[in-house]
Amino acid sequence: MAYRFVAIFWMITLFIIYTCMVVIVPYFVLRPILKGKSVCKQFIICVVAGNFYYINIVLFLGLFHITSKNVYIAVFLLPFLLKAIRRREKIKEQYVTPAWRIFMGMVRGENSIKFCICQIFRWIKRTIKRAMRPICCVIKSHMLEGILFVVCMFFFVMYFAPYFYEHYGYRTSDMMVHQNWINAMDHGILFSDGIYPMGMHAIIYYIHEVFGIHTYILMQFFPFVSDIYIFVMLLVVIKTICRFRYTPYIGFFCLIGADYIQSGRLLRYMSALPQEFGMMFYLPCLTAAIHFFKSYMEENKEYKRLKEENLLYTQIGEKKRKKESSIWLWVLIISFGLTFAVHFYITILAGILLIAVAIGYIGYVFRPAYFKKLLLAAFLGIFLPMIPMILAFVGGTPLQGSLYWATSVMGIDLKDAMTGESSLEEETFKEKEDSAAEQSEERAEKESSENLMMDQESEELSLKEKIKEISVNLGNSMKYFYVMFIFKNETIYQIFLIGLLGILIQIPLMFLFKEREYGRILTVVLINQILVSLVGTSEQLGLPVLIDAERMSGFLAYATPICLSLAVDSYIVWFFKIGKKKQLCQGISFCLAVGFIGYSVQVENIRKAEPQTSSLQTDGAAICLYDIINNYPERKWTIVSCNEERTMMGESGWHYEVIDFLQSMEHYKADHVIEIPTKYVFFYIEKESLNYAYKEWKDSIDPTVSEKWADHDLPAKSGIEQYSGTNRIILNSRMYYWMQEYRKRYPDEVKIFYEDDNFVCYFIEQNEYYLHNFAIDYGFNER
Amino acid sequence: MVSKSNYVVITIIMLIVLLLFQFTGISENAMLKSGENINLDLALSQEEEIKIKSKHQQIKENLISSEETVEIGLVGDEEKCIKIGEEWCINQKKTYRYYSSLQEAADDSECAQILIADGKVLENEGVEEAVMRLGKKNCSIIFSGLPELEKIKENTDLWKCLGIQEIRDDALEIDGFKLFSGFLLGGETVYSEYQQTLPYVKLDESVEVYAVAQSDESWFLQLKNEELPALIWRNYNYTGKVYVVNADFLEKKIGAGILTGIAADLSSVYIYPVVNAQISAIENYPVLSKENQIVMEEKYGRDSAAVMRDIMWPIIAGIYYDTNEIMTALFAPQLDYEDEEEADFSLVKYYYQQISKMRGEIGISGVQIGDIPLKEKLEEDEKLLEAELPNYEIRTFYAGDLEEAEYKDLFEEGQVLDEIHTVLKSYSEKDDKGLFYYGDENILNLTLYIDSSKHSDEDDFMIRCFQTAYGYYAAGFDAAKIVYPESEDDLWNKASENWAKYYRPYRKIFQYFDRMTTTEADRKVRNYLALDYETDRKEDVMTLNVKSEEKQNSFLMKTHGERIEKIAGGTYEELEKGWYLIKTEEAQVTINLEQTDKARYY
Repeated sequence: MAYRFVAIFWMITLFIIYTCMVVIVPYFVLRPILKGKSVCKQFIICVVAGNFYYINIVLFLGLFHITSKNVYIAVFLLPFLLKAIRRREKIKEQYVTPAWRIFMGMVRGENSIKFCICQIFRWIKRTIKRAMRPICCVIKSHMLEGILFVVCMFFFVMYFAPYFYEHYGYRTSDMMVHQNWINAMDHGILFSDGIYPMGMHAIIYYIHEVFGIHTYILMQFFPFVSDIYIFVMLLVVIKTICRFRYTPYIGFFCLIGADYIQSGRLLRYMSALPQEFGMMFYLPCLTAAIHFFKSYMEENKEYKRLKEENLLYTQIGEKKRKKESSIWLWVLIISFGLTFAVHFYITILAGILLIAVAIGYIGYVFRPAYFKKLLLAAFLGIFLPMIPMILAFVGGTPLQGSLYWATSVMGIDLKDAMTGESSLEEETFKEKEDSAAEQSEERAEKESSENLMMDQESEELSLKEKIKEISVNLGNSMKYFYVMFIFKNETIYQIFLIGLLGILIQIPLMFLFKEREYGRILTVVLINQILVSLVGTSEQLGLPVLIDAERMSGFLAYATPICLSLAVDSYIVWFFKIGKKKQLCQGISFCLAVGFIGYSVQVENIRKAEPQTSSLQTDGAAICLYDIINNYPERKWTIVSCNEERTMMGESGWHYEVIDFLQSMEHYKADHVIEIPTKYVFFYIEKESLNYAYKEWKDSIDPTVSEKWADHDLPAKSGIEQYSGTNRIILNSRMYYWMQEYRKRYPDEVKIFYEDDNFVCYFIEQNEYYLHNFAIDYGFNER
Repeated sequence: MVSKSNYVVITIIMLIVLLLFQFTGISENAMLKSGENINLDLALSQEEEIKIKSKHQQIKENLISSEETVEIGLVGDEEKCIKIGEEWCINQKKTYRYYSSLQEAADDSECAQILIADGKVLENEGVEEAVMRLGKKNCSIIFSGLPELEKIKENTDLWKCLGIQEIRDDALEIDGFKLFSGFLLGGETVYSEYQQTLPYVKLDESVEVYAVAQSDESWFLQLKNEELPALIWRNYNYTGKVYVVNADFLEKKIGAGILTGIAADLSSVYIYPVVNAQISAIENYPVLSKENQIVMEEKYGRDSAAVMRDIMWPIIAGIYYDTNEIMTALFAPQLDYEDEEEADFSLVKYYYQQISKMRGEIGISGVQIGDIPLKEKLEEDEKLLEAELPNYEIRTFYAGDLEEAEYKDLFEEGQVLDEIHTVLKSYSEKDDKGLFYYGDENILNLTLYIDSSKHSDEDDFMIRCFQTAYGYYAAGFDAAKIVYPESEDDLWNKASENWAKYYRPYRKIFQYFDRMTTTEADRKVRNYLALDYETDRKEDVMTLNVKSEEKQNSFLMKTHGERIEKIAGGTYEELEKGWYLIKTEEAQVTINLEQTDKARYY
């Protein structure tokens, strides 16, 4: 069977599982809160609350080294149980009593079994019908929007899915590091490599543990599912701030369907990385904050009105009243907290966003009633997700190495702050340096620190001169940043600028024409865009670098569609102000959205998937690993390879490094012994070696296994370097010729398990009682 | 309240049910009234037997060849392993040739693919060079035992050929051995009581080991598994292979099983014919006279005939029902003709009915306690049996340990055993004959090689070897020892317990082979001996062409990491991992193979 079907199967399965976890289950639990809200708002609340719940189950229980499936299931069922207890009377009346009556009727012989079964089926039918009714209503009333959504999602799937079903290897070395931390949770260790925001890890681990899906499968295919949620969340958030129904699709399609924003900005979404997963909780902060202010204002207004009319006694009691503002404040706390729990960079972004909101609502923020609540929210938003980390830190767990680097980029030296432990931390950090994730980050660190040095060396300027210089450079830096990292060409950048300018012009007009709330939203979005752009260009402008430009470009690419949609939406608002015909304006927004999609399709400016083989793992290796994990008994097999299968396989099997394998029989002597004590042994050999972590080989290098390469000395054991560059070709060549010689001895025992143009996996089944000695003289190891 | 019409219907239905139940018994009794041998349908006619025998002779003559390329080369002449090898070649229909030395074989431009040689030839000068030359010619060699290690101590080149890295002990006494799965049918097993003395050598990295020694000695227990003395191993020798059987297995008849295991290991897919017959006989049962009265009264409180009928028969029947084996009861109406007691022949019909109901068969035993001439004894038995079962054709004669000369004249026309087609014999390593062979007068000799009430490690290994080589199992229980016990183990309660208890753990594993009476087994063996076949493999398709008088023939197939995907012209059953039993239904069988361990995705 083609592996692509397996990939598609898992993509669908994981989508169903994750949807049940973060949409369907929270929907049933939070029904009283969700009542009366739009689908978009319901979606935001469900996804945020769902993720918050599962992440915290894993993190809090993990602190006590509880990572068992049964406990997870029990804790998962707890809210249902509490809810059932709270509603026991209603449940008894609605379900238990009728069921009991039917059952007793059957026992007494008054009812036949057939009748009882009919009753059960009738009840199921009724329940499904009742559940489907609102869905049908939404579909009916939003038919056009539904079609638009399906079209957009079609383009989304056409672009994203091939990355998962055409090539299967891990795409970033960081994934190995993250999987390693997830694997450690199997042993009840939460922060195995130090304290780190483990939100994404917690979600993956939860699915792995509860549903019994191997972490390798989740790391391969879960990003597709999370991507759906990340980008649908973008659409949903735009929808909550736009006035018209269809304008959000312009921005949404611009990012996921049309090819106006560089594809490179989306590539990281193809890997299971916390930073990208955290984007799901970034924009809900915007909706939550705006709706908090909006509803709080409305509540105050209502309060005043009732007070004026002496109708305060008609209010529902404080305790029983579900204040809309409180709900949104909690959504804000939770979503901001989630950014903290998943990746600190997203927290920085969310922080910038909230600054923009504060500026937009400047007239309210410092009012005592608002300020008190916001202060409490800020405290809880930061404190709640930090509890597991603080507890772990108090328990003696050090910070994970990359956090020192991240904070040092921001000018905070945590190493120094950790008095007494700094040397230890430093050591720990150095030890971890060879991990792939840190390598990339380290490179970035070097670059940014070099820049900082250069800045320091540059002539000391006064603040005024600095501001002047920044204002002079701002335009060029922005242009450079946007054209270099975000948009495909300068024209699109110019159109984007026009859009921003439009928003800028409309802000005072909106206030002038009593569209204050909308004006505030425009302000928030505009300021956020400017602030994020400033952070992105800080390096160019000579400002302190919070986050490097390339990373920021990813964030900005995600946030930019909001401006685009809002720019269009704001113009239609003017039509509405003039014509007062909402349906017409909705029609205009629909035409614009369809026109934009149609135009993009017409000019063939559609995003095309260009999936390439991973430079870290061949497709063949990925397929074999999946096959072996699923079809061979646990811990009865070993893979000898120069990939990171040790991490990928988790606890399922064993791994033997090729470098150790070959070194053990180097300078061959008769007493050399290499035994691998498992029944099944698999040897991964790349006939055409990968250029590890890079893409293509130079023309002068032929990566095919050959005697010429095999004749080279074995590389020294040196972390990842031994498998990088030409070292990898040498090792694969040596393995290849070893295998050819070994097969002569065991022609019927050694089988080819899998073979394609550039990869081959050999298989041998051993007698576990009398192991094979793999050390042989294969002609290249005599020296 | 039941209405009249309902009452009538119920009564009719009950009557029909009653009749249906009775009908099987009635029909069975009607069938058995004739007193005929119900297995006659399964027997070959005289003409068929003659034809098949001549075919066997022809095949046998054709197998030894000096001109064409042969499959097996036998290096030596009088060595026991060469005799065993020859017998094996004949049974597996492999062309063979004799060589006087390995050098001669190496010089032969069309050398046999497999050579069987006694380990002593390794003492000869220049043998290492011959072994290497043979290896380069893709020829594999099987050595029966190692020579005296002192004589090859300096010959490191020969060590390399044999896969020896270090010589540790000339003669090591071992308690038993562990046989790894896959080499023989029956799976992995440990024999803790199979004492042997063998040379102890440490093997190098290019060997595949099939059996290693076991011992309780403390130094032995501290050895790494990979350092345990090996009993059977394979070494890589250029493109060929060298097998060393570092024990006396190839000196015995069980060598056929070892050779089959090696042949199966040598090729990626190995198909060979098997008899596929499992016989279970009760020797000297029933005894119909009152014999050894004093002992019988003392031990059982009744006479021997009553013991046989009242005590033994219910248990025997129980064992046969439980094991699903088919009984061949070898009548000995009277064991001692010198005493004055006469046999009670009224029981003959009773036994006939009971045995026939179990689809069993009656034979006649030549065993006696007294000393009257065999012919006389048999005439007495025949006379009395004919009086009770005039229509029953007895086709099986149990010779036990009798010498062939004692009874071979009795098969002639007009003699007392002229209706006999099959002779069941006891197993002996002393004769040169195989497990089955033709005697005079077209008589087929079959060997009962296992005592049903005993089971030693040696027995178990023997069963595995013979089942692997021939798919043939023949066990017998001697009922005479119950009447004339020699030890406590001969008492029926002990003997029957042993019989029942050894079956389940040790013999049931081979229940995939067909169980049958001696007459049916006779037919199968005759066909097996006269069968000829060819195999051919093209990529993943294996073709088996069978030349046989019978439509259905049985073959065993051993694969290495492959399984049968589909089959045409026959049926198959997977016996164990890599072992298949194929039953042909047509002259040509096509088997599609597929690799077992391969990626399921691409």
